[in-house]
Amino acid sequence: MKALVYHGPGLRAWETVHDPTVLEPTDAVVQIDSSTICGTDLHILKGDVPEVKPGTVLGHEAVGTVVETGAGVATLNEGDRVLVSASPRAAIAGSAVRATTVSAPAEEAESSVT
Amino acid sequence: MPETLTDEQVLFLADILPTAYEVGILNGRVGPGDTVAIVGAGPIGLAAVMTAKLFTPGRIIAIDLDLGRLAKARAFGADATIDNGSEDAIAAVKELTGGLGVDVAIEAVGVPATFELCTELIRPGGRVANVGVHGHSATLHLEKLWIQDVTITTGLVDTVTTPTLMQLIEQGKLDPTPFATHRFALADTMTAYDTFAAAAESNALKVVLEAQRLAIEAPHREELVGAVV
Repeated sequence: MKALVYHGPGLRAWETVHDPTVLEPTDAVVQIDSSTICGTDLHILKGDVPEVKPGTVLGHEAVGTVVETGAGVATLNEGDRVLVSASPRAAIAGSAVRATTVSAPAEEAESSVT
Repeated sequence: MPETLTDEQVLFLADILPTAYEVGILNGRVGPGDTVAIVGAGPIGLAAVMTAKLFTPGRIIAIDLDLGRLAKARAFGADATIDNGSEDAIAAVKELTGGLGVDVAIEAVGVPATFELCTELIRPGGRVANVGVHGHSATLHLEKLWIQDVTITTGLVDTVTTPTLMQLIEQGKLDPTPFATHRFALADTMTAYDTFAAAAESNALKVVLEAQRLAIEAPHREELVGAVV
């Protein structure tokens, strides 16, 4: 899939990265339908947030469709439309989502746009 | 997510709305009749204007250096605006509040000057709710504040309020769609970043990246771009 990757202060690239997969039983993989950009992403790109290392995929706000869930996910099914929140402890509309792993929620092209 | 809501109605619940609401409005304990100063009228400040209204404040004063952003603040519901570049914000706020200061000052910028300004805008017993992402230390003027009964809060969004905010959107009581000023295909993400980073020129608030939208540019931009961020 495609993703916006941070490559150090002032540097970003739209490049192909590995498709996300379920790593933990509590993971869900979400296909991105809509996303947006945050002021914090700009801070990261400037190098203001040293905790975020070069090579990190940026993007933490999205609406999407669940394509895969781990064995420990009881409240979501494939095909569910979800909000992917900025917080890692996202609790949305009764469903606890720890959507994706380190490689997401990424801008991606696992959609009809090629 | 309810099927009745569009992506754009819900997308800004991912970050700016619960951030402004939890770390700004709730932390600042905005109540009915309060005078609230919001320093910084970018997306977070504007989300603070929008969610402050859930508590029927008496007056919302938006403060920014950018006249375009101040105009947006008015459109989002601010009662008064102060151009901090050409006016003395402290004097203007004192005049608006009969010399007392505001009940709550929300810092939505993230630099030392605006944090310190917030501490000077509040009345005795007032609250500063810091939302801004700071990269440097600021000065806390305890020589003035020690006697003022002030509360200063900081924090990061939790998203515990997201279900409530979503319900308000469903019920037609909250409408975040005005935040979407630009729309791009996901494949045009690099251009979207350019537009968002140049918000002063593009007047962008939030840009929406859509999977279903056709790309404008050919998706070949795999080269590393040393872009101006």
